[in-house]
Amino acid sequence: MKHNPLVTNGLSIAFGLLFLASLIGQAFSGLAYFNEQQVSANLEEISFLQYVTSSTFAVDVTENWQSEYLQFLLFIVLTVWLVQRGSPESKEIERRGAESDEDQLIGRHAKPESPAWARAGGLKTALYSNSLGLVMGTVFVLSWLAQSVTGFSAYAADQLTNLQDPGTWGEYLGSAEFWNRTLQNWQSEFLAVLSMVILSVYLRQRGSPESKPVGAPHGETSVEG
Amino acid sequence: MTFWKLGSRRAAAVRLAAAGSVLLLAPGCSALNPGSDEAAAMAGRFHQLLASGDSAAACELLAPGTIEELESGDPGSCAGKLSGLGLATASKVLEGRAYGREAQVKLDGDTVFLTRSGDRWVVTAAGCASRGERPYDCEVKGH
Repeated sequence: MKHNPLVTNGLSIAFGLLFLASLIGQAFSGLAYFNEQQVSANLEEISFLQYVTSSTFAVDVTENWQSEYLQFLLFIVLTVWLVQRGSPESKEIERRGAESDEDQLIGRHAKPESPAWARAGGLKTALYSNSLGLVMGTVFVLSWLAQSVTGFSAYAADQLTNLQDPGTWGEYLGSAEFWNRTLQNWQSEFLAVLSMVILSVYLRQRGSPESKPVGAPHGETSVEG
Repeated sequence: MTFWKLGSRRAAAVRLAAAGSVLLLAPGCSALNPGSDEAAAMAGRFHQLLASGDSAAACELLAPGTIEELESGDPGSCAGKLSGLGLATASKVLEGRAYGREAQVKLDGDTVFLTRSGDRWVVTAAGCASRGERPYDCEVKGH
């Protein structure tokens, strides 16, 4: 049965729109806050374009991005080996590890409709077999790097406002400011994953693929409703 | 700061994230804005005007908050009070650094702090002496 693409891509579209709306909202509220400080310092207000290309805006965005991608990366990679009995986020206890080529539909076990690189073997299949983690990891590293650069610029500007030396990027990487920004995001991500993994053992959301079926036993692992 | 699990739409999400990351790195790099030369020129001009005795013109290069602070307390104009301070002369720029909308320019006889106001740099503090980790001790500064 053929469905409307808006229906078959509803999840991506909804989150894409939520992302854009939130980012735009962050930009406007951030600009308003920045200009409040400019006015109180008797300085001219800045434009929307100046704000969204500033280090102040960029560091606020990238520090959240890096932590989200770290969370995804760890969740993707750690769930290969670590399991949680009763959680729909976990695979079955006996399936820990990278699993067999047959289970993963690789090489001669690939189906006719399998991606070409799953069938190709060698480096291509090795790369494709880890492509999700590699891309998530790359985005994490780039976001964290961007956070460090923009964070340093914003920190240095604050230092100069306070009539202090700005320091260097290298010094910033070892600073309390950088690690505080980083760790305050990481802790919330790890808590959220922990909550989802454990709560989904005992709680249900009818109809959600993130939950087990309402009537599924608590001890049943890797079952999605 | 939120969690989400990997669903069947993961490939699209990854592509979106990768594209977004590249977009974000661009403003991040431009944030280390190359305004240090302009800031250094303004700091040099400020000291040039003071050296030539044109304190009124030097006052026009000060940030509004700095003028306000300078004119508070004892009665007197910005120009009169600025010349009365007798700031050390400085003629050669040694180093200029700009981050975001703030800059610091080190000259041979002074360290000057500036901020971006509209399309130009204005002096927020001058006659500044380093105190290590603590803020510079400045003879002229805003509030």
